[in-house]
Amino acid sequence: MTLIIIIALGILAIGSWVFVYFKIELFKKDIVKKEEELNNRLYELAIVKELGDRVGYSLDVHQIIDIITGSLHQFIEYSAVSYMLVEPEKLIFKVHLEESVHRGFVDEVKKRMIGSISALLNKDFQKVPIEEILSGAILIEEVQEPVKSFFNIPLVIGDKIVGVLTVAHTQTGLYKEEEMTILYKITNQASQAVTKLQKVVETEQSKLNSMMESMADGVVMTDLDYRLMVINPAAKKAIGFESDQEVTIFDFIDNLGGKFDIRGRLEESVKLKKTYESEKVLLNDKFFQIFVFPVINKATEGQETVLGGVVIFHDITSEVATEQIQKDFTSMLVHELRSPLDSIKRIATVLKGGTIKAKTEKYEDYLSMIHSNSSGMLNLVNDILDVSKLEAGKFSVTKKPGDIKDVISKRIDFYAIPAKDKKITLESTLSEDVPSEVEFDAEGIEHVLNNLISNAMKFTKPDGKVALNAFLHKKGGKINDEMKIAGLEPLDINIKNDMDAVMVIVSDTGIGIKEEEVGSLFKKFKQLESGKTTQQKGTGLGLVITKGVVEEHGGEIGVVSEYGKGSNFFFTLPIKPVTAPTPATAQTPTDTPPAPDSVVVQTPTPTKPVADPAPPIPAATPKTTPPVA
Amino acid sequence: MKKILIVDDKKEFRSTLSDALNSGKYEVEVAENGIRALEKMVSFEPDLVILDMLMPEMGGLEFLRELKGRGIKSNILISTQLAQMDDISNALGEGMSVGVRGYIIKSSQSLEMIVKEIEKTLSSL
Repeated sequence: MTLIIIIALGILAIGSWVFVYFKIELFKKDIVKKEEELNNRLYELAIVKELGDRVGYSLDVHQIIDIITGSLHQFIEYSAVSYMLVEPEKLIFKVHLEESVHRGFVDEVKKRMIGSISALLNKDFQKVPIEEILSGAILIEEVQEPVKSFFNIPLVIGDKIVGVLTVAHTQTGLYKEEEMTILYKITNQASQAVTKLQKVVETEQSKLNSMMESMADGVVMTDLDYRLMVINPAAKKAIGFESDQEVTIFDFIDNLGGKFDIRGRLEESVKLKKTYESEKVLLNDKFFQIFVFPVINKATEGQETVLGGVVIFHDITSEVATEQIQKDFTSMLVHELRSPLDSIKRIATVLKGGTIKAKTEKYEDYLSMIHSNSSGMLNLVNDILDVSKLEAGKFSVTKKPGDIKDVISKRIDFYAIPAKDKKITLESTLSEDVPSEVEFDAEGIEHVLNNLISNAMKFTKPDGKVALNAFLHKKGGKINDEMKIAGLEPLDINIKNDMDAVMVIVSDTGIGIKEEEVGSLFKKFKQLESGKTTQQKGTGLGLVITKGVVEEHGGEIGVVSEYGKGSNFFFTLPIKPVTAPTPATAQTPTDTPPAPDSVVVQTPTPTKPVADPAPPIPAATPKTTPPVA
Repeated sequence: MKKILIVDDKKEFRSTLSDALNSGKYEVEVAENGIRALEKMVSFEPDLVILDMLMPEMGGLEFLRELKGRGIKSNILISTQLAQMDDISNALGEGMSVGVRGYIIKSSQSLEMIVKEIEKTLSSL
């Protein structure tokens, strides 16, 4: 019984011991395995890191394999490590010797490797030229040891066999399963890393490509033989090709002709590592500045290799145009300034000649010419000063309470005679709802009115019409409705309606303004093409200042124009109640405009001011001044 | 007496030049654009035309084309600004056959120089 118990205990003890032993062994194995895996993993990581650091994005297979073979020695023993790579037209055979061997050894390795490659790729490589590179220990013919251990594995990058990696030793029976496994793992890992890297490079390249595709500048990259490596659509366009056409360097040479020596500049750039910047070059109606750079690879520190050249076609058409506009503007200003001076000088010459007697009509005529020429010049000089003040943000207006209707009427009267001379009908309609007392800068608003009326007259042919309309634009009011009430055709003017304002519209039956030119109308340096053709002179500064004056009053300015039919220039003058509420402002709370729809129905959009406006609209009877001329 | 027609949209230029020329030596008439000038070509029959290039209604170039079209020949001096030198080559191309003889540059020549140029041209006719 005791024995049985002892035996049982013994069995149990042995059993537990065996169990524990095996468990420990298992653990041990597991630990060893894990350690191995960790080691391999570390090595793989080291390789990947080294690949990343040293190879960068160049993806040179030689370099990659050099890295692998360079660090292989810590894992496997060999007399020689070598690789053979398949290149177009040749094989690269590189051997690194860890110890001295004789030539026969290397030749044997080479022979076996060619055999393996031929078998792997199912192609005969016996007669393909071989480029051999030997490194490491020197060859010594006295060392007669033959190849006794040999192992090679295919080098696969991105599912493609690119060559063979081989380890060889003078000792026998070295490469067993363990070594082979390590070697497989390493090359496999390296291959995966490279494949991944290749994908990264491809993504980067496609990013780069899509960036290049969408770039406004033309980009051309060539290799050292001036073959096009990269070309984007903008570059093709620059030489007049469509983006889907195939283009060679010769197309560039031909199409750039005598304008730009692309070949010469590339050669200079690549050979002398020089950057070149061209003057403006005209290609197919566009101006380009062309840059040429060498492409330098600085993969390894201190070493620079020129890979090719880059040509960039930078479109400077708009810069050239701006430059031209500024030049035109300056010469126009000079002309506008010297032309009256020339006139005055000529008049002085004639008067000095003594043929014109004082107090005669002719004499007086000349005096008034001197007067008008000098005041024209003075005005221009003032305009230039005003514009420079506007540009410097130093332009200001002095607002005082005054009668805006009176100012407008006086301006219309002022232009009555010139209008009559030019056979233009000039009329004005001041709606009664325009308050008589408003705060404004009388001189500034006179300038605005002068500018708009004289412009309208300048671009209107004889028998045409210039009309000025002024009415009250109510806070929250719809401009089209208000125009109808004032007896005008709606113009879809887009303006603020956050406060009451006097709206002034100067309409003409002139040449109108092209839609694309409206935007630049109130800018300095602008010269409308349509204005040029009719030979209407002017500095274009007037509208710039006009805009400045209106905006200083808190108003808005703009134009609604139809090319060939005429223009409607408008501006608003916001009303702040002066001291006592004017009749117009007093009406505001009760006389809200009727619903827009009813206005549309009831007002048959009259073209002439109506004496009897639609019944529900109060206080909007336009007071019409008789047309002059 | 030689007859001179001054075509220019600028009143100051027309007046001063005609006064500078009109000391009993020449008969001078003026026109402010090409249309008026065409009328004067028929009614006045000038020996010499001083022709501005940039004018409203009808400019100098158009006037020359009209002359060509109507088969009217005369002697013409183009007058222009320094900044518009292109006008001269255009006018020469257009106007050789109708009698363009030369040019004056208003912005760089004084009234006396312009008068001298006109007298020189007239004496060579």
